[in-house]
Amino acid sequence: MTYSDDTLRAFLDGTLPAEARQEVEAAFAADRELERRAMSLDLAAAPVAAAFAGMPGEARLATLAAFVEGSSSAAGSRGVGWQGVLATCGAGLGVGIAAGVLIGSGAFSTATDAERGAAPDDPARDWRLAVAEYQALYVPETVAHLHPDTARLSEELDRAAAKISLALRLEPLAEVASLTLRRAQVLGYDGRPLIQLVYTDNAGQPYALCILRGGTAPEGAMTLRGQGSHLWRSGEHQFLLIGSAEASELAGAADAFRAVF
Amino acid sequence: MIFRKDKAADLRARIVPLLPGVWRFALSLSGRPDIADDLTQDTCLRALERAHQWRENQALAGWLLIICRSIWLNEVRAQTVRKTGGMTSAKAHDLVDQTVGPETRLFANQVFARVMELPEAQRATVMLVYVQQFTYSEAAEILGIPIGTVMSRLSTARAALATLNDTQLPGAKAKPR
Repeated sequence: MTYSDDTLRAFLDGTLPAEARQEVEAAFAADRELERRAMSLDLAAAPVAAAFAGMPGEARLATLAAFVEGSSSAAGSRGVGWQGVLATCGAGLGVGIAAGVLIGSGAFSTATDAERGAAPDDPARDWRLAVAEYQALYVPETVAHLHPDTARLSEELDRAAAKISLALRLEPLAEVASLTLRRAQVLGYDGRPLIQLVYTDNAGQPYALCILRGGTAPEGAMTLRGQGSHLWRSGEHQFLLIGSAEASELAGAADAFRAVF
Repeated sequence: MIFRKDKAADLRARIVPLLPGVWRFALSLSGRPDIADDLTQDTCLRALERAHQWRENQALAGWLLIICRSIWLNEVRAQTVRKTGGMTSAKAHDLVDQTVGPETRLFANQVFARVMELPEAQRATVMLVYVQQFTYSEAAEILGIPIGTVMSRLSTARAALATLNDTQLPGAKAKPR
């Protein structure tokens, strides 16, 4: 059966009697062209399509594409990551233990690099994912007990600095944009040192500035595993600021850290 | 294992060109660009985990959106509402293409804002059919609803959009049935 444009318009407008409407719906199932013709008669479609054209924008799209290309089916899963970590650490999950898992098994995954489909030194792999998985485990209680004196922090910073050939001095790093430095530790990513500077805000919420020598992740703001993040490059190092705030709220702090390095 | 690895790599390459569609659908569900970022990432990771479930002759775009909707409904939606105390719509000027002429831009901003004000169910349906060009039947399958419900949602959304500007939005004068 053929349907006139007027009938199809009445169908779109919802003014067709119920029985006729059901006939048209059934006809769509057998005749894709008919369905397309009805769609072409809906003139509200074009302005809406135009309004959303170009989204999500080049920068956002590039970051998402890098995420997919650098992700792996096993390592990137929130479920696999949490289960793996919790199974290893048991009930007494602590920062040190979790850090050990990160260094030991490589980005929280029990899968081998071959299984992930990427060579260990594949620059396309996105180190932000490993950091985001790790940081997602931080809660205020994780860092509430950290009140190191300046000597201790300086010692930790010196140890970290030596690992990545980057000056890390206490004076500019102790307080940055109302974030307070709580700990500096050396982690590892694909056999390379990854420095994690643990910060808290005034409410005790944990943040991290992570530094990797090399790294090819795309620069910019991004929500990763539910956390805001900013990544930038300076010299041969990549810097990633990440925390529970939205990416837009982290922009000011990211600028303040950029000024330090 | 080699087969699985190749399939995941193949799937990864096929997903990348579909990212704009996944992100826009995620935006229509969540109403927020930052949540859309996260939802898109979760969708891709879940798809790669389930690469073995995807069949070569299955439309990948639709499959991804079904995964996206499932994650949204089961894992993200309640958390998002709890965290923010409700949805706050995305700002048009952050997302709408601002390189076009001022009149076109103004109208696009208005249309965008009006679409984002629609209830979530209508917004998602409008996104699938008007923007992503899925047929009514395909949209019904992705959303897990009868085609009649798709038509009803579009009709209601069209009526809401018609109040925007009757002269600029021809054909958008339909009344909800």
